[in-house]
Amino acid sequence: MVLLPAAKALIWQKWDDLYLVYQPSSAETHVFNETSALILASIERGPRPLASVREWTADRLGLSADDLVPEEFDLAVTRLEELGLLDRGDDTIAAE
Amino acid sequence: MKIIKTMDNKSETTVASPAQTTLTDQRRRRLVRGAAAFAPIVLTLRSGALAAASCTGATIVDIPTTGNFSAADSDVCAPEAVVCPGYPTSGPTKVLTQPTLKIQLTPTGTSEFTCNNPASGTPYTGKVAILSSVAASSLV
Repeated sequence: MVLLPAAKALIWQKWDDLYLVYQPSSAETHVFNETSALILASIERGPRPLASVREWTADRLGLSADDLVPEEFDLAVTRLEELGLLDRGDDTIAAE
Repeated sequence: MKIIKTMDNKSETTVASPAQTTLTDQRRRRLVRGAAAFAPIVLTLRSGALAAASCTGATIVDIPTTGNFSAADSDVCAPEAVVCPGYPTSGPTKVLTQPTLKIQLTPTGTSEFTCNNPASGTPYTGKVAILSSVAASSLV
């Protein structure tokens, strides 16, 4: 899974437990929580497989990877990909 | 420093190291909110003028005459969705986030689905936009 240039240009504003995120490339504003923000943060320094992203995210939240429901996690990654923020390639949790 | 109020309204003050605080906070968050509270949230805000010009991800599928095609359980079809200018009219593309007809897919019993016309009950054929349930939620 790879972070795309549009994600590197995001403008972040913390708002309680959430983040207001402006995406200049689409002129859209998104609301992320800590979990979705960590998904992007996990691939900021380089590509990672999806399973590793899930484990890293869970670890940062003080959870085990099993606490992050694969379907929900997968859906969020799919949405982030639709927004043009990351490229998952053929990486899916089900395939791992 | 942490102030703990007990049931009998006595207050205790303790000093925790940063590491203890982090661990305690993490445990408390898990206990209070439950793991479900950590489900990732990705919402896109809409505003009047921008909404008309914003697009969301979709896949244009050319449904054969049988009406059957492959999709995910939670996908939605939008037969009247409009492809955003400059985007492909087949395969992965973007459609306008504007109000349009959204139809839950009907499983055929095999691994395929149909997109049934709600008025006639017959499956749509030809090019139809298929969206993930999350993307479809932006087509209010």
